[in-house]
Formats: sequence, structure tokens, C-alpha cells
Amino acid sequence: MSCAMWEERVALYAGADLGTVEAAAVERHLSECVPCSALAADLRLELDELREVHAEPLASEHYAAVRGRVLAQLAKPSRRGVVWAWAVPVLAAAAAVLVVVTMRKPAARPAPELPRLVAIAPAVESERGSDRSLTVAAPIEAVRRAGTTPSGRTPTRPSLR
Amino acid sequence: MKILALASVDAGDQPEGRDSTPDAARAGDRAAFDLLMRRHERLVLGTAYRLAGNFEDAQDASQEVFLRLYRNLAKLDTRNLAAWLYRVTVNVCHDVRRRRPGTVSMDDAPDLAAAGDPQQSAGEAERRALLRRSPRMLSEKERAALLLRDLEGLSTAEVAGVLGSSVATVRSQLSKARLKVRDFVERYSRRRV
Repeated sequence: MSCAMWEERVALYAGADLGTVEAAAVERHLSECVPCSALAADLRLELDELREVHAEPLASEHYAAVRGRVLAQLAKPSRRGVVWAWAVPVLAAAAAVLVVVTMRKPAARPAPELPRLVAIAPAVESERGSDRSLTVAAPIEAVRRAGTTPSGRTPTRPSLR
Repeated sequence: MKILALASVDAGDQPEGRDSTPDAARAGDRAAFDLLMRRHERLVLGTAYRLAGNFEDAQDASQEVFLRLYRNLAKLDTRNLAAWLYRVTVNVCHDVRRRRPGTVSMDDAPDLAAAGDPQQSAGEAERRALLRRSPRMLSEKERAALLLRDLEGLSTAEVAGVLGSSVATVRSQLSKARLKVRDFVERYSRRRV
């Protein structure tokens, strides 16, 4: 096995990641191979230095900043909360309006007696002459005015005389 | 999970199994949740900073981790909180890096090495600066494996559990990461002497 093939094992050995059998095999190789022995020593030293360098604590303001941001986020109402905050009053107002409208709705008025209006129409036509538009409009207008003729006079029954 | 269990105990005044803080936090007590954050902030922010390589991303990631902790408190077993926090921190840091790609490759290493404090003399201080920056030369998975095993002190099996990988994969990542760090430090130390 060439030294290049030992490198991976040496790197694991330097970090104490090999089992007893594998570690013993690496130690045998290291006792015979100067470059691999130097590599193992370098790796151990660099791992120690790496731990030392990264063990330096972070400044306390970084921790405080994170805590502050998290607590501020938690203090905000959630989106679902915001939706319900709007939805509840709107739904309540809509329900109230519906109740009021239902309570105040007047009783249905009886529909005007159409046969009676049709009976009036010839009287109007006879008063206005041959204007056919009035013949059509007269019954509608008569319904709107609830019992008065287009001329505002009380309708009269056609004379039987 | 011996080390992870110890990490949880070490973070607080007493073992969390007997502690009422997680229960109070679950019930919506913000002061209790603040205490829970203080217990685990070194784990979360320290890991995030080493993974992300800068405070802005590390703080963003840590905020997200703690918000996820708050949302998941009801269903979490807080006796294994350290393992959960490591896993979520690694995942969130990956997400942050994907959103803000700023990977430094080995080709950028000379600039990175030159970015050290100009007042520092060559030699030991420069070597420490190189070591501090060296994890940035690694792939995300190699960096996470190196950080959890060599800096946080988790066992290889625990690292595999956190990363969702096999032990064999973690061992491979660890050996590659250690050799890359060594190559990086040796190459740029020699070049600048």
C-alpha cells in the first residue's frame, strides 16, 4: 500500500477515529514511514490549534442580539392572528346588519290588481286621443302612483252610458 | 448519545428532565423561553457562526433555529434537545447559504489568506488566522462533519445522526476535511514566508 492510500487512515488516526485494530495497523506503518509519521504529527498539531482558535468565545452582544430578535418576533401577532383579528369584527358586523335588515323588512304588500288597471287603460287612451305610447305607459305609471291616473286624477270607470 | 446528553445538562443549572423551564416555555412563558435560549445559545450561535463564517448569516440562522424550537416545543423531547438543535442549526445554515451563495473555493484562498490583519506579524498569528478561516475552504458537508466532530466534540456516530449520514460517510468526510485544512494552512503559510 502506497503512502497516498494511508493518508485517509492517518487523518482518522490523528482524530482518534479508528478502532483498536485499525489504529494498531496505522501505528505499525507510522513506525516505518517517515513522511506518514510527519503527516500524522502535523495533523494532530493542526487539530489542536484548530480547536484552540475556534474555542475563543463570541462577544456577548451577538447572543443578546439573537435573543432580542427572537423575542421581538414572538411578540408580533402571528399572521393567523392578524386575519382573525380582522375577520371576527367584520363577520360580527355583517351578522348584525343581517339581523337588523331581517327584523325591519315590511310585510309583503298585495300586488295591484292588474285586471283593474287594464280596465283603466282604455279610459286614459280615450282621454289622450291616439298617443299609443301613453297606452303602454299608463298602466305602469298607474301602478307607481298607486291608484292615480297619469293625469293625476282619480280614475273613473268607463261610462256605460 | 453520551456527549449530546452532557451538552444539554451542561447548558443549564440542572438536568432538564427535572427542570420546569421547558414546560413553562411550552405553556407560553416568554421568560422561560428566554432562559431556554440562554442555555443553548452557545451551541446554536457558535455552530452557526463556524458554519456560516460571518455574524450576519449566523444570527439569521440562530433566530430561525430558536423560532423553530418555540414552534416545536410541544412535541419535542427536551432531554435530547442538543441533538435536535445541532441538526436544525446545520440544516438552517445550509438553507441560508443556498439563499446567499458566497462559497469560497480553494482558488480564492490567496485572497482569503491575505485578508488577515496587516498588523499581525507573519508566523504564529498568521497561522492562527489561516486556521480560523480554513473551514471555509471545505464543502458544506465536510465543514459540518469537521465542526461537529473536532470542534464540538461529538462522536462519529453522533455526527452521523445529526447529519443523517452513515458513519462510513462521516469518516470519509472527516479525513478529507482534515487533509484539506492541513494542505491549506501549509500551502499559504509557506507561500507568505
